Amino acid sequence: MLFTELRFLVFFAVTFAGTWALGGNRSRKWWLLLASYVFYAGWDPRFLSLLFISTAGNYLAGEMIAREALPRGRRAWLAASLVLNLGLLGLFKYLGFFLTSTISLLDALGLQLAVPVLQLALPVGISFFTFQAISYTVDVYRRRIPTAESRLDFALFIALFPHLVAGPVVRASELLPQFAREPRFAGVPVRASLGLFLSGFIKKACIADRLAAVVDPVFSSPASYGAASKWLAAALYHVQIYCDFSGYTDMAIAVAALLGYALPQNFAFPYLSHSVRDFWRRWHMTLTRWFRDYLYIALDGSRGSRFQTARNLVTVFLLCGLWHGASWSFVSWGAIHGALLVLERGPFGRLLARLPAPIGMLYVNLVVMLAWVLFRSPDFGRAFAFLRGLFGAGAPLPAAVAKTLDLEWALALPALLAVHLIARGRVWQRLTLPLSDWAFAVVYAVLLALTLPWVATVYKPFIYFQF
Amino acid sequence: MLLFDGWGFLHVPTNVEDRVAPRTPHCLGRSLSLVLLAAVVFLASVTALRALVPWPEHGALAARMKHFLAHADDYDLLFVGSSNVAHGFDPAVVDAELARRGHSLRSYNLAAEDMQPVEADFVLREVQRRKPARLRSVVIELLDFEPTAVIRDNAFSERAVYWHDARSLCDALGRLLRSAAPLFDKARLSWLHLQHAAWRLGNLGEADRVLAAQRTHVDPVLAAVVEAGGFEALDDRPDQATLRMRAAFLANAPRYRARTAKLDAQNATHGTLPPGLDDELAMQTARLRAAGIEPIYVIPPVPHPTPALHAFAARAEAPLVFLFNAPGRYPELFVFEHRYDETHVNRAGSEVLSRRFADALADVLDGKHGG
Repeated sequence: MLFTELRFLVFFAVTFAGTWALGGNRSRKWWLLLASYVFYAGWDPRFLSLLFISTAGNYLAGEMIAREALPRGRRAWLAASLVLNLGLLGLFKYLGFFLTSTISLLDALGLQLAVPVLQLALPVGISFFTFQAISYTVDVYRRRIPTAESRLDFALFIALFPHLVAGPVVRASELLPQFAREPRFAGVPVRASLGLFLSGFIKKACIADRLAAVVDPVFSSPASYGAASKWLAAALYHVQIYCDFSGYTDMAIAVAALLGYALPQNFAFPYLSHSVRDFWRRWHMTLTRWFRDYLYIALDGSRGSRFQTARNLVTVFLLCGLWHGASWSFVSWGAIHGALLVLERGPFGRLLARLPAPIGMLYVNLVVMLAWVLFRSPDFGRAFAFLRGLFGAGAPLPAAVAKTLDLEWALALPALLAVHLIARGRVWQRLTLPLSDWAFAVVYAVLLALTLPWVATVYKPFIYFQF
Repeated sequence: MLLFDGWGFLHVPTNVEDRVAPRTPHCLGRSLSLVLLAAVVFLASVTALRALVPWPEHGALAARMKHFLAHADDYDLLFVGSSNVAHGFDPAVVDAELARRGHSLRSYNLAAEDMQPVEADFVLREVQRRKPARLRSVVIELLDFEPTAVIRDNAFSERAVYWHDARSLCDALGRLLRSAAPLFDKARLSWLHLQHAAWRLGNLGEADRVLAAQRTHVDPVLAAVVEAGGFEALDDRPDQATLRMRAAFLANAPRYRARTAKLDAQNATHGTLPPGLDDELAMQTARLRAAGIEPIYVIPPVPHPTPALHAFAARAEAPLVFLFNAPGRYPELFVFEHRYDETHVNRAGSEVLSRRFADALADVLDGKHGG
């Protein structure tokens, strides 16, 4: 069930009405938990059991960690929760990848290994709810947070539907305290949430989905397109992935806000960054801070030697790449970002800091855009064909067979800039703040009516759902 | 401090206590009034935008409808229905034959592939809204099979979406609920119809078609078809699917002959009308007659038995029905030389069918109706 689908609208209308009609915090939370399970079952009811296992296992682990007095016992329960979470992730997401890679490696070494490779379906959102569960048990272990007040609160923390399948990756310290008190409808920022939802809807349904139709054929068969079309496709994917993911986040935050809960921000104009380091402070921020807090710092962060810091950065980003997808192209994408971060810690970073901001932005957008080619391409072979083609390598295509992208699609780039400027300039707030609620209702209805004709009518799942 | 993407709209403090109270207190009545106002404005806006959305290109409906609506006052007779009507009735031949019989009428064919009763009724309502000055009769294909199944194969195509206004939605849902389809199928198809209606209501994704309509180059062959009564024989410009149907027909000639041989006997048996069809036809007839338009129902020369419709046509109170799926009465429509495939006539067959139809209509106009 996508946020842009009609059935989500029906689902949300029922959930919203039920949430605010029910009296009492506990009954509201039960209602939301039920709605969240229905939402998840809308993807594939079989995987509900996985959600139940993760919820029960991590709740138990959290309770046991809190009760254990001895450090060894606490460590054992933490290890058990990590085995559970990483085991689920490994089984469903990485087992096939590692087996295939091992078989290929042995094959290259001349050793034949006949092992059947399990091809399990990837449960939607497993990477997100697993990471949230890990953050809970680790924070309880570190005594940063108390355990959840009830099983209901913990189950809702894991399953609350706005963040369930594609984040933001919420910390227990952000959500559990909100469950403790009953939200009041009077405290809901309705107008702002509706504006944010519409903004996310436009980014996803009107921009990202339209661009997908243009970009997909080029990445599927790069050999059929010339260098100019490849550059345009790479630039359009750069726009698409931002609009897709940040659009989803906008809608998730807005939906949660309308239900009375605040989710953390996930994007801060990443394409206006001046360095790759800055980019990762602004792109998928809740994932970045997860890797920082639970991996980078655990590896000792930047407290060791230069070499150790570089090693930690590269390790974190290799794993970040692997988190995005079980394939070597994702790992390579992570490696590139890790390498750039290491590079920026040296003289190159100091030079970058002295350069005018637009040059830094140009550099970030170029390297991030080129790295997205690895991220988007179906496999390594096509990624390299694409990258080689960008720089004119390979035999020129005969005019009769060469396909080209319509240059008018380059308008998507100013569209992205406009999206940034509208949001950055708080245009929505400036325009709507002076309006009465009645005038706002009229303006919103007209804007919605004007938006819908621009929706790309072939639904594309959110790019981040695959992770 | 970082400025977040969403802050152009929303800054949700993570501390619930920090939330700023709204300027006006919320109350249910006020909230519902705001929702109602927004809904009314939204409906008004999408309705206004709908006027810009062109008709579907599929079946050349857009060009033919545009032509017909622009010249609606010039026509006396209009055909609607599926491909059997679209490729079966040639207005030029009909008009010439009627003229030979002393009736100066002008007809136009607005039928299209897979146009089923609910869609045909939508087309007729759109035509009626234009209040054509001379339109006296509409020829409507009489179908008795499950009338909304077409969206199974064509879900969310512009042809499936465009006719889903509120009235057609109710009509389609009513037919579905009355049909003998399994409950699960009914639920699934009802949801599909509701989604189509929502797409149409919101003009979802129509911006491209609105823009394309401004710059579309009109195919000269299509322009000629549009000008010549909207008719095109199947053998004039066959596509790949049509050619495959033709090849299958040629390969299965004995089966076709066997089906045709049994047809009259099968039509003579008693059948049961689909539930609600009586009422639907009565309502359609009443609505058209109130606008001064006489409905004429036809069953094209298809080799499918329709005993219930034959029995219906024989009733005294039934509207005018011409039954061409009767090889005994119209053997020339079923000869191999006049068929394109099993269910469609070719150009020569359409000339024969159009003349037979015009003759039958002239008989009615002359008071010699034989049914």
